[in-house]
Amino acid sequence: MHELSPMKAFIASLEKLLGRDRVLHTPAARMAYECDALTIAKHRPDVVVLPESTQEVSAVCKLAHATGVAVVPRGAGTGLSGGALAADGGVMIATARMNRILAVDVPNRRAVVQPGLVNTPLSEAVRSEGLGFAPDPSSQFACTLGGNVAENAGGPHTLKYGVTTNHVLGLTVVRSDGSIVTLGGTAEGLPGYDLVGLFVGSEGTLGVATEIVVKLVALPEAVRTMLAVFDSIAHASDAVGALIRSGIVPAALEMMDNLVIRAVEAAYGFGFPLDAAAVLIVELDGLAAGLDRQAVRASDILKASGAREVRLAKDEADRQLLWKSRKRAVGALGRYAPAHATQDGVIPPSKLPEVLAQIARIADRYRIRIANVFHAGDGNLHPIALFDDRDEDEIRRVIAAGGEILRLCASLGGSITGEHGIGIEKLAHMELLFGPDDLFIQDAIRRIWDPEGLMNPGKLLPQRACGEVARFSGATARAQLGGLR
Amino acid sequence: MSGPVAGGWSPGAADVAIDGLPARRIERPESEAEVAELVARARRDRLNLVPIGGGTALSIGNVPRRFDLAVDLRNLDQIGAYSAPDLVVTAQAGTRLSDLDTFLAASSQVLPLEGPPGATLGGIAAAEQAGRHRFSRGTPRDWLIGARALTGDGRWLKIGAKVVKNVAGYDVGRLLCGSLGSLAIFTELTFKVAPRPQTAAVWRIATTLAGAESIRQLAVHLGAASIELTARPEIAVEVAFEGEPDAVAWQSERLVARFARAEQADAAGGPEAPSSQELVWTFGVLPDRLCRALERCLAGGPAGVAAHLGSGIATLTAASGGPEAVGRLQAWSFEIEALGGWWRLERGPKDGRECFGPTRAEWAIAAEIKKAMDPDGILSVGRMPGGF
Repeated sequence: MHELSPMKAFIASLEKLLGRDRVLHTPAARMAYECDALTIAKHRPDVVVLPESTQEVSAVCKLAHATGVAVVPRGAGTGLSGGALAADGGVMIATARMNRILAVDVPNRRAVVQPGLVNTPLSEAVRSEGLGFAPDPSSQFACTLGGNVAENAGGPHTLKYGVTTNHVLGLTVVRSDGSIVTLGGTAEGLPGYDLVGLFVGSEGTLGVATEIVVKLVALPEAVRTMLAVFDSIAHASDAVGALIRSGIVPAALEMMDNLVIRAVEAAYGFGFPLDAAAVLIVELDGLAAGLDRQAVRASDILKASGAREVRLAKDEADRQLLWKSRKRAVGALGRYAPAHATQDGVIPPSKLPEVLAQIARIADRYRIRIANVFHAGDGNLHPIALFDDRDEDEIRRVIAAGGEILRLCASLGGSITGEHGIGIEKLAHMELLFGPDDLFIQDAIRRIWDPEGLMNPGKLLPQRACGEVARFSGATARAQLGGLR
Repeated sequence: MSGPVAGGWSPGAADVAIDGLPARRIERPESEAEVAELVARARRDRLNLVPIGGGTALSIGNVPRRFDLAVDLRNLDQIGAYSAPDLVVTAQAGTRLSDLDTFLAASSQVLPLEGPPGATLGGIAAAEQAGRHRFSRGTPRDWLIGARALTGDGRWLKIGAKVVKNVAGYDVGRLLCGSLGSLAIFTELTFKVAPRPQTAAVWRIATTLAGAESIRQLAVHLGAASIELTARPEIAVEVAFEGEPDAVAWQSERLVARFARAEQADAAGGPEAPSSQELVWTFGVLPDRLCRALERCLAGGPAGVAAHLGSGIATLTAASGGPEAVGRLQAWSFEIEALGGWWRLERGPKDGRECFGPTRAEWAIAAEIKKAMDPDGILSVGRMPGGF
């Protein structure tokens, strides 16, 4: 009898643990897991497992730890920064079968969920109680709560309601050695360091969350959604500042430019004016009392800032169509080019006029088309480069333009990512925000959770010195990205 | 002799003490460079350095074995960059929250956190202090978006950014909030701010503990800004509504329709200055268990109560805090733990005792983080849950 290779023996152990149907290792089966929504970086995991409980995740991690195999957690693979890429292979833990709501506590507005639960079904499940889960990324029909936790996901309504970290109270986490630890809980104000806050947004590098305690928010009694139409991007940008200065905090404040308007109009037929340079979607919510008066105030401010028209959503169906147009805008851009790359940066919203003008100049300089659809109220830009992914030269220009936009954001005191994460995409840009001491401390924190560097290696932090057990640097995929840079 | 006041100290006092243990030396740096020098000195001489703001939350924490050096940051009190349309303000760590509030009020904005008089920005962040708005607006962890801080091994950290949304790297700012100065010294903080509410109405309802729960439920349902319970010893609940005038009027009507005895109160005040009581004990449970928890705790004898009903957090106070209080503390922690809650002893028989409970496995990870950021063990050593 010949000896099995270490990976084959590892896979055999996994099959013994989970059964053959929950361990995928044929090339065809693994292909579905070769990338997330950052499709320009691809690498297949050596094996994919579908655990159904915390104990099974723990057992998989223990085995991987003993064998020195990298572990890559994955929700729905909707992440845009390559966080769920198996950068150097290893075992991918797909949470698809851990998709249950374990408990809902209506009086205290809490829910306990598994990481593979999709975002929208959680809100749907508690809607009859007048509650919802606030973070609402555009991918919410597919993305999972585990992914939301890993990426500290946002969405349009985070302007008023906050991002994922503001809505997570507790976590059950499996660490890289397979040990299980509870962070936080259901009560507020627990003593000690905020390890829940540290874990949220850690992009799968500190462990696998297997249970999540979330806060639910009360659904607003009333909502007013407006579409403001502008003949110039500068006026639309000014209107954002004017609204915020007036003391109104909209639930959402979104901008779409002309390229986006034309694409979503062709796709969904909401009735956007095709000649508009930009539109703002302004949503106000809260108690019914006084909301109409606030809407009139907002409308007046928008008009005073140069809106040629402010349209109020007629009814809920009208409003839903408007939001569908917004949330599926990126997909609608497919009609312009074979491929698109969504950038994610943050600036102070007061700088919007000059930054949008600069982005237009950057697009000209690199001879690419950039569409803008983004969270204007919190300055979270999403310039989307439209390109042909068969054209290597154009890909290079897209990446270079993206880097320049991020440098612009950082130079204004902003951030290189507002909600998509660093993943593998922005490793090289971390130094725009952080100095060697910052990165040293972050790396030290990571080593505490994962001394051997097995947990989602090659993500979030640049240049991690390699441990002895595993030499995973994310080299393969990074080389792929770097080759294009 | 005017000795140090346990747990708190008056501005300008020469002495500062933690749980009756006076600092052997106090320094008042006037620049970040001087803070760095003090950290270097502490590392060289193996001192236990405790960063101090207004000293209003010093009673939170285990009793340190030594208190060599208090670093009073109140000379670092400059408000820096402020951009009203971006809802962002930066100020030095020793800036008083009340001074920032006055400053922001000029632009009709607010940082909706509260601290006792004298509390500083660095202090409320390090102690994760939040007042009555905790329920509707959250805590420093929700409002801090950036900071400059110096770790125990002398590394200057640039945390976060000056924008309200940012997910780059680990959220070290959140980690420092509530760390009691044991990981790094804040020198500058950047907060997100909010528009100041146009209107506020505060309603005071005399009630019982059983009655308080039904007030809490309605107030939560109506979207109250804060729901506070006091027992001195008569029990009363104060419900505040804030926002658009029409909305506040509607909320008030609904509350009064159900609780006709509600009386309009003066604008709700901030938290009180540190209590002069000998025994101060804070706990947290799920909000709908709070009144039950209070009933059980008060069954063993009277105590003062100040509770954030919306958040499930309450502070009990009593006059007698010596060894005779030990039995009472045991009974209280038994009740709270049975309800799935946590507790901390702020004043009373603290010496040699773990002042946080129940013990949590995650504290072992926290201890490792402490070692990574303060390898020489010079910052607020012995203060955190678990005793590190």
